[in-house]
Amino acid sequence: MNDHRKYHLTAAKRIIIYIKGTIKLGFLFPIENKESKVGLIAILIQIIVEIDVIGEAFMAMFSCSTMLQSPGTPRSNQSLPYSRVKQSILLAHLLLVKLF
Amino acid sequence: MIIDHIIIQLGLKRCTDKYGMYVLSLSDNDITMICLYVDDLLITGNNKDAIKNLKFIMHYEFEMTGLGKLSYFLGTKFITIKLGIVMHQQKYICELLDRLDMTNCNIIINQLETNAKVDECIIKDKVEVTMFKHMAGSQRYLCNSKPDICFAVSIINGKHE
Repeated sequence: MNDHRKYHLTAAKRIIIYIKGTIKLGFLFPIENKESKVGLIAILIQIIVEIDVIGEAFMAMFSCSTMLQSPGTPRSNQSLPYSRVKQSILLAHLLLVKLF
Repeated sequence: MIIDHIIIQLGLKRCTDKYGMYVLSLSDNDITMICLYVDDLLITGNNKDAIKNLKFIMHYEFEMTGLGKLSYFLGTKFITIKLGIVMHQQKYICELLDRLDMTNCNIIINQLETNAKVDECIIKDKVEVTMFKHMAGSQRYLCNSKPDICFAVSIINGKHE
């Protein structure tokens, strides 16, 4: 049980260093939106001042994706039209490029 | 425990798996939960009246004061924005880095070496157990807000068995 080798410590330190790199990331539990039905997916977002703007960008990206529905949510029969999806992704990209 | 006794008297059921969790469910769509940690109580649920009622009882019985919406609890910060709730452990990570004296290290993008063979370690130098356990424990706690490190943490913790 107390047999910790040097390798373990190196691996543990590596995780700490990785954590340091992702220090600005947090979890967003989105409010369920009746239109997009995103459900309870949790996404990583950057914690900076304009948290709401970035959050919106991510929501735009995720709400158009049917693959990222929460498990257990019945898959909706009507899929979003492609133009709408493209528009959302474009909007998300624009917002993200502007901010990072 | 007095507080446990009173919570049970109010009709809440103690959770069998998780210590300090109490659930009150009057109907299918109505749930109120209490999380008890030493002298802090977290109350949540979808019935506003039930929460108000519980808060009143707690104030009356224990002279507790409601601190409003949850913002900081056990090293985890909660921010409510219009899109949902953001959860992060930035302060805890900063404190951890300070404690380990690793604030100036260069960052890496992958959390585990490729083809890592922890069990077949050749170097037989034993390391300081206290420091290792401190790091491993902190990492297990950080898994709550950073699920991407879960696998790497499980690899280095797996040898405990």
